Amino acid sequence: MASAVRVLRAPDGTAVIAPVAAPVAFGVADGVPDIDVTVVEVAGGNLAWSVLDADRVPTAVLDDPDLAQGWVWALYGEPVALALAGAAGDADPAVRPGSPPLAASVDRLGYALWAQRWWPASTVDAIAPLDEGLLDREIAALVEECDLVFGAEDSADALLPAVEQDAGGPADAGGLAAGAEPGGTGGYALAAGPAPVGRAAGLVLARGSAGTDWRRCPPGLVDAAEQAVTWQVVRTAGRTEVAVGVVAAPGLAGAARPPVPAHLVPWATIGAGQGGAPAVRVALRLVDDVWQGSAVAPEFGGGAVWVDVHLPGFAPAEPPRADPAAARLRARIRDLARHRLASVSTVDGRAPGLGPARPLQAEVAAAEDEDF
Amino acid sequence: MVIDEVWRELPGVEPLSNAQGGPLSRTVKLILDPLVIRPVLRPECAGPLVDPDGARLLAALLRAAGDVLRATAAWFSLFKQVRRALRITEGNPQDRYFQTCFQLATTAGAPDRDRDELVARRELRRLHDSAAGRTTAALRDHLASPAHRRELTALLDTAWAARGRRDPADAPAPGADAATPELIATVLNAGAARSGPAAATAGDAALARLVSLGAGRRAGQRLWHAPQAHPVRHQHSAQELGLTAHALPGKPRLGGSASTAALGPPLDRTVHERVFTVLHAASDRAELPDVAALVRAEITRCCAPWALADETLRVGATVGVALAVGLRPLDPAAAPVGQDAATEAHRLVNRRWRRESYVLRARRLTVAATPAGHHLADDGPLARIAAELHAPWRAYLRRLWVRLHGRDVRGVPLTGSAELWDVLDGVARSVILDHRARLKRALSVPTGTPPATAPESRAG
Repeated sequence: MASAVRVLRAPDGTAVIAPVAAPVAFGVADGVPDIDVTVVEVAGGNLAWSVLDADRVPTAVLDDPDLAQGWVWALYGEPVALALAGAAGDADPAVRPGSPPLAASVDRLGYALWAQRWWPASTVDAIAPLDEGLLDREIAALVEECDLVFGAEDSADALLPAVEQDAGGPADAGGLAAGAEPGGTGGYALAAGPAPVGRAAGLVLARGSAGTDWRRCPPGLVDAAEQAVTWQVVRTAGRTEVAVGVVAAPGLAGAARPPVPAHLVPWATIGAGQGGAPAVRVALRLVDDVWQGSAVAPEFGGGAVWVDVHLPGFAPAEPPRADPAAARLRARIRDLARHRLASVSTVDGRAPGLGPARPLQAEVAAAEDEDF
Repeated sequence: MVIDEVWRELPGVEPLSNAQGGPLSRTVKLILDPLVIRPVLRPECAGPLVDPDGARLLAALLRAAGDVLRATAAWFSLFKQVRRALRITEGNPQDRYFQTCFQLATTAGAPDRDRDELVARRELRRLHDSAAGRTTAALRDHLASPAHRRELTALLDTAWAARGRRDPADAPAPGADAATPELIATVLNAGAARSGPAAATAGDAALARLVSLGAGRRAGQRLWHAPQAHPVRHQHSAQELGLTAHALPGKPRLGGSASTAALGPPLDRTVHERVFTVLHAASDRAELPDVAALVRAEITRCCAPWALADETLRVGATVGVALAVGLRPLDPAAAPVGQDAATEAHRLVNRRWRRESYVLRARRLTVAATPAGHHLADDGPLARIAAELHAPWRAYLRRLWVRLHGRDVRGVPLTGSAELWDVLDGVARSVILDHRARLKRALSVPTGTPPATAPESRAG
């Protein structure tokens, strides 16, 4: 079971402790993390791993290896600490945490930090959102448990969002907006697609649905489902319009919620085929629980219509190339979320030492959310 | 690790321990390392890994300190209890109390619950209420008096008018300006390289040379004038550097009210704001001069080059500019362009920005590198943050100036290149963390109660 790691050194003095099985999986120095990667900043560097990885040996990128020696023995074990110090020993030492409870807490903290930003909350998929206040409080407690890895750096407190004390919304903030219809894509497709142009009763030339690229909007704006976006091209009185609807993130709409500020309003980019005719871009507006927008359709030269949703200023305006692997990764993350919510009832939440397997308090609350 | 193992044998130290039963990071940093182990005196206990002899010595030292540590822990519990009773929330209790508790444990042993609550109260008051009349209210009152204002305004006028006056010492030593960039690069390389005593000595020597050349003073004086076109080296104006909003820095006003939320760029701040910031941030106000002396000193200071009185600090600001204009947060892999040779310091800080950009992506906290033109209201929070990344030296120099100014007021010069690097590096970290905090705030979708329009932190 114990995995081996390898200690690598970059010419600039950076050291990397990477699982032998995936030596360059999280090239923190150069790479771009995928949406399943969590990062924990620790004394002397970063820890990164995939929350989908059952083995979960973090990759450590250390720009101050000496400072990191304060905790390397506890997370990776003494042989790894010796290898990092340049002492002779096994080429690929096995990972045997000197403090398994600490290793479990760090793992759990990394998962909680990831969930805070990437949890695939979706009304369409019936994946309840996590309560921000509960999550913040749990992260703060985990940060305390993980004192050793943070060291006594002054910046340690500020590295973690929960201790900034800017969070802590009301406990029910994540609830579904009153009147929204939970579950099933049908209701939303109806609500979303035809609404802007439905009155004109034109000729529907094409329609479809799609997901969004989660990297292109911050959390809390749009539904994470692969069917969250619906579109239709309608011909009315000599004009061809395309109407887009994007299901809003759970709980975004509702009387109790303040309006979304202008700088957080997402835009849709609509095009057809790859390359070819220029795409049209339109600001969406929130109508109940659907972001809506419509525009005069671009010259669709017969290619498949695509819709990209992004927040200007957050992500580049240019849509990325379509990537089937990205959709598969999103599907795996939804599976993870469903699995975790389902296991709330089977795993004893109070059992210590389970590390990330133990549900977060916010997950327990989400599993009991009756609206989902 | 040795520490961790022996620590677990010690009874009664839970208040100083972490969740796994080992010592807290601050226990190691503030108590064990400097007060019990003292690796400077015992090189065999220094460094990340110790040999068996060092390990035995470490264990013996810790066991020998067991009683004192237990007493320290008891004092700390008492301090926390009294802190709650006094409703003090300021500061991190570990940071603020650990060393005092150790001192009490060493001199008085374990606390007696009944008797020593008074001692704890007294110590907490001493640690927290140290204003001794140096309050922002006293400052406001001092500046509100018409007599004071007349006198201080005259003083300010005189000092400002005299600032450009030639001093024989201002005449540059032959070749001084030509030597300056290389000396600055030496200081920056030495600080960041951590490459041993040789580099540190070279760095200290270069820093001392910059001070004796008056490089800081002259660079600061240049900021009062429009930069002259130079065929090779571009001179940055104070406005470009973000030190003033105006084409040239003007005479500071005396001022009368300040809230840290509305502070302008450093050289545009009023005398009142400058002193206010120091009083507001200081936890050691009793050690400062009294308010009247603070104001007078600030009037002299604000008319000095860099608005700093001490030449080592002005050199610090000058070196800081060389570092700051080479920061590339948007493209950290790229080498700094122009006259600024990439030093080890540039590489280190830009590497940190690169790591930050990885963390920000993993946290879904990105900012589009190219402002999205007509789609984005140019005054929106995201556009502002993106614009700051295009001129990262502004935020950097604003923070750096605030720190140097704080040292100037307390009379703490920079004594070596390592000390300067600690300041420069600390500012770099703060700028990155500040960027992240602002981004996070800008990207959070408001829930429940409408968000208070949070003033952007500018106090540095």
